[in-house]
Amino acid sequence: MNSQDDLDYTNNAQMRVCADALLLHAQTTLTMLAGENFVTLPDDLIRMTGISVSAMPLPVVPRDRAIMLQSLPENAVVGDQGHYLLGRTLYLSPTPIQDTTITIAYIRRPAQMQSDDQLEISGQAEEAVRLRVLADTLTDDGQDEMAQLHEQLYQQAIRNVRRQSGQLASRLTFGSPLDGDLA
Amino acid sequence: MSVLTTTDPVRWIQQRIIKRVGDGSPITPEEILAAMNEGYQLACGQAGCIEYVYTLATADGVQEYSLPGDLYRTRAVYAGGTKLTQVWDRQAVSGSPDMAYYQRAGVIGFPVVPTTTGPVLIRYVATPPPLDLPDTPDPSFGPEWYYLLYHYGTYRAMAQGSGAQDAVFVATQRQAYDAGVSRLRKQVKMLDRSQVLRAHSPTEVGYAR
Repeated sequence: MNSQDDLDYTNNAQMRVCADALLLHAQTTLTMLAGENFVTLPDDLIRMTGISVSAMPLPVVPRDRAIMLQSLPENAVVGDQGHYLLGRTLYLSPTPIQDTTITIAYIRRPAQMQSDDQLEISGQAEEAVRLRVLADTLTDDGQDEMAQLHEQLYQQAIRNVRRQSGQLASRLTFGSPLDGDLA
Repeated sequence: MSVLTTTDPVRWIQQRIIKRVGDGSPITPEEILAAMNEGYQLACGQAGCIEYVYTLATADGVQEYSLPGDLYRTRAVYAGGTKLTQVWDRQAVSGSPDMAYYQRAGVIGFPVVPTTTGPVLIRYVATPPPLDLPDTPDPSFGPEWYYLLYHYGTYRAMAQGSGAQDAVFVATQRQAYDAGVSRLRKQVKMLDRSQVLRAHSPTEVGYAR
């Protein structure tokens, strides 16, 4: 395998491992201007784990009800503020009348690798990356039985990584991302 | 030595499929890309990962309107603070609700012809545009799901261009694709409900916390 192949397979494997084992956590703030009710979620977001405004958890509102309100001729301001998602867009309902800063906590993807980068993960997760690379390269080479074996080993490694990281993940409940140590 | 960057994802997956099916395959790289796009659009549509709200302005006396060109399926239609009921006939019949809509071949219509102008909101699942080699799939279909393009592309390429000796592998690729789309659908639902960690991973390792 040449250097380019090595980089491509490793980058792909790290993406898979991080998503399969929900390993990397991040927090960011998004600003919604007055009169706007939506903002696009970060590209590296896999799954949101918490959302808050001014350190207060922001509840989910029923999406149907929120969009029904939008379909009224006047932009009705009804009910307490909450959020809902459509695809990768985060909406607030009702539409804020002033600039609003939202904090979200989420599970993220790793950055695209370059050849001089280290993996963002280590330990058993790094071993899972190695197994993922082997499973993929063996499949591409037509060695299906060996590929299947490494696929099974990969699945086992992911189970181990998730078990290991489960203690932290179980603390990430819905609510304020400011609760708990998410870094 | 210069620093290498990763190959464009679509190009890389196409290269992997070409390597797998072999140089002697009758399948062209363009056909492989078309198969990957078919798998991509099908997965996004079935899983509902790209969703928009389209605002339609109705006009007095106009019954039918064009739907967005990228519509895969309609989730719901809202007007006047109400969720409209879908009916199957363009004619208003006895007992049909005033607030109703029907849909056919790129057109949405209202059995009761609007007499006022007003916004109608159409919430729909969108089909993403086809990918070319330098493109990156929609962020809703993140890198952890690119393996679905490999499975579908390999399935289509080998189903066309290889013999019985590869039948098991071809079937396995299709199964892996279908199972992956099912997991993507669950992932989208979890994102919908937002913020629940106990969800299915892209590879569905069957781990229950």
